[in-house]
Amino acid sequence: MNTADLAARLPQLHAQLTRREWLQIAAASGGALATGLALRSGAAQDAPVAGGTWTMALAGNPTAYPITAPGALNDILVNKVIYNNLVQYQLVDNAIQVVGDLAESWEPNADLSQYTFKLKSGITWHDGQPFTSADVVFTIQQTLNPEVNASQRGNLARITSVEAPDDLTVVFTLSSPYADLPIMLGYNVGIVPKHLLEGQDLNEPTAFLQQPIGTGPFKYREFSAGDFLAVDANPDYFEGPPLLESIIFKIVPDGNARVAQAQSGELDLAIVEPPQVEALSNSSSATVREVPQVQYYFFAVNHTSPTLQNVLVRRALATAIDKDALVNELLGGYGAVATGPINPLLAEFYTSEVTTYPYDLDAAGALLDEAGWTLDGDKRVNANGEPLTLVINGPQGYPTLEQVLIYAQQQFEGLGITVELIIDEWTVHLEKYRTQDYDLLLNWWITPPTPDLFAHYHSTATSNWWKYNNPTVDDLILQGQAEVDPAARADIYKQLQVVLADDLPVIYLYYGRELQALSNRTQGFPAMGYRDALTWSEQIWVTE
Amino acid sequence: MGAYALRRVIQAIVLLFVVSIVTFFLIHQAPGGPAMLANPDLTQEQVAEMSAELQLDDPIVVQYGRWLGHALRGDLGNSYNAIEPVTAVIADRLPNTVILAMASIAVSVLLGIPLGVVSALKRNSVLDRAVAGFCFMGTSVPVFWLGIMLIVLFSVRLDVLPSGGMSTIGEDFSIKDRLVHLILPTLVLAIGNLAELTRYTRSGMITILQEDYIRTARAKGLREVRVVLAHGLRNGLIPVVTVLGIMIPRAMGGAAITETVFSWPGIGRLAVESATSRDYPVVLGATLTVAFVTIVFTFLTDLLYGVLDPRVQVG
Repeated sequence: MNTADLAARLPQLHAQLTRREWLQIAAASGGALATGLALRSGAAQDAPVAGGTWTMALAGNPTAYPITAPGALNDILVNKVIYNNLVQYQLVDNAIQVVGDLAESWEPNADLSQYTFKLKSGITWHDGQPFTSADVVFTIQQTLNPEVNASQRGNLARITSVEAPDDLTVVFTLSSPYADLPIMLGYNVGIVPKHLLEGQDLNEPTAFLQQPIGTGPFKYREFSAGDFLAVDANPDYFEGPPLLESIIFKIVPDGNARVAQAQSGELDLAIVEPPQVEALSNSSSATVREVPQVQYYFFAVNHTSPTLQNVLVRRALATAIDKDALVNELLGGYGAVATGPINPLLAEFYTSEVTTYPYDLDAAGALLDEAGWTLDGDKRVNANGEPLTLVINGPQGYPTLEQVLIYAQQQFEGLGITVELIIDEWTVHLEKYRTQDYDLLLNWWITPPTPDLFAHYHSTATSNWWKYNNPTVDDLILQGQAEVDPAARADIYKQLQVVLADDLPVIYLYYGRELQALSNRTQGFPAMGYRDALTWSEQIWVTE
Repeated sequence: MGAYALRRVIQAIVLLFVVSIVTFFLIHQAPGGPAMLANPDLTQEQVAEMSAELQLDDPIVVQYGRWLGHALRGDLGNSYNAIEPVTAVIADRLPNTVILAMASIAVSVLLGIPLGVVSALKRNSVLDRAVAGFCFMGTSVPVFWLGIMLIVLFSVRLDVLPSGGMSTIGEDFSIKDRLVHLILPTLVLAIGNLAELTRYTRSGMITILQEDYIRTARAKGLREVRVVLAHGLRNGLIPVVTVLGIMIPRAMGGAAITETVFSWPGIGRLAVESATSRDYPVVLGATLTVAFVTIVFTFLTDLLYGVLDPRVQVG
């Protein structure tokens, strides 16, 4: 589908639609086509064929080791095909569901403080050794081990003990009732082989890294630093051999080079930004599709700042941002306005019936007046004559986010606020985030598909980098974790969303969509965020 | 000559020390810590623990002393990002940059010097001005833009050249495959140097060609080619050799942008990436490697200088 073709055939229509609408049609139809093909893998026109090599891009060097994941996202991606978790996520009718991966089934006790997982049988490691519950126990224990710098230790901290009564059963005991344990066990908790890692230094397993061994659909073949990591199909994979023969993770550090390679067909998958969609719209090798992901973008608020402790000020700031314009103009329509921290993909918990802050500069000004910040000339001052100033921090290297920051600065200054905008390198940005060295900070959370907000919103949580403290919210969060009845649980989270939308611990901006540039030969790639889609890598196949 | 060599060696050692001290202090002064601590999933306690393990809270002088103690014994430590010794990481990437640097220098020299000579001979002609214009563009065009433009043209549109990497992944080693992958990054890296070399050669030759001994050679009836090459070029090359002595190390350490755009796994890109992610051991290792290469080439240039120009006494 090509804008030029459409234009030629429908001259009148061409005159009426704007260029942007054409691009949206082209992208949407291309996306719908690709999505349709992807979702119908195995069913309709083309039957899956085995064979072929599939290539995707990484921005940096991966380390195929799930415990410490020093390379963050790069590691996570390759680990998805080499290792398995106990569970994985599936997208059904625009809602995320949790299904078993290594686990066959699981059962909590009456008050959700203990879970018994049954494992699938007949699973083997890439070196032929049998996979058993001992491997799960080893992995979890080492993740929780204070000597090991495990990246998921915080997320699994609630587990007080993990035991294996037999080879195919694992029992988790928790420090307090927790409805979301199964979901968290699917979040980057790749199970590693005890027989190869026991007794090794788990922070620097150099011997293991020469030949990483997992249970996944693909086996590690080769790693050339700065160049690529290659994996081959595992014919003994417990779900059946994968369709592809091999996958290449190509290291392409430059964003523009990734787009160029997607255009020329050298890459089968590249993640692109909204401004790059146009460049790919004329490509004969690739199509861009948008997929939902469990994430939200926001301005973090430093609650140790007296100014920002006043909820009226937070509401004023939210009202001064035209979120619809952000989504339509900056994101090119690839996103939705965020009403709160729970993503619509968590369909049973999400509610949009909360206070929203439609764009209204006058109303924003009135809120500031009410908060005691009145206009003195063109600057907002309080009763003592002190001006209202805000330091806004953002991460470097994200062009779309930089535009959001500049836009926000503009809007706030229109209200009479003096804004200092600082764009920092990622490591510096994160350090300032952790130490509350900011007033507002632009960031995002990509979270496991759970409505649980403890980690960032509870007043005692170590990842509550906003120092937000609201006893009502604390209460609701704990209730939500412990509630056994699903309907009651959903109600609790809906209440929580109402409270959060009123109290605005952070200024919710939007739910972003992931833009995937997929080669036209790619089939069977689930239409979800690629971090989760890759857990289904055994289903990917290529025409050719 | 022996005393001279010894003096140079001592200078080199002192220089490496200074480079290591300056680099160490500068990179530790940069705000933010190692990237692996910047993982949002980590808890505050974990970050504090890992920071303590890396001994990043010790006074900077103590940290340097510790690093120096190990370095003098040949242990440059382990990379934070790669779970590998720094020496292995560098040894992996260094040859790739050497190949690229040598190729681009070769192209610059083989094209630049003749262009410079011809421009000098045909001063102010149309050819001279055309070459001058090309040189001006060559030194002005940003490398990252030129790289992407060439990729778009030759890889995406024309599909005749690969857009990055050193070789076609999954295929067996072949010289032809390697050379094909070398073409675009070499061109991009060569253009700036080519432009400079052309200008240096041109001005060097113009000066030489006005010398008395050139006039003498012509008066003796020698063929122009012999005059230019045997008498003129040999002397005109002296400033060029000096410039080459700087260009080679610069191509080695400064090819970061080209290496990034073309996904070339070299040491320039390694140095920049490790600095951005505060992989301190690798930053030190990469910087010292480039410093060492620079020192070696400067020394060789000075020796070559002495060979080319008998008026110059080296040592």
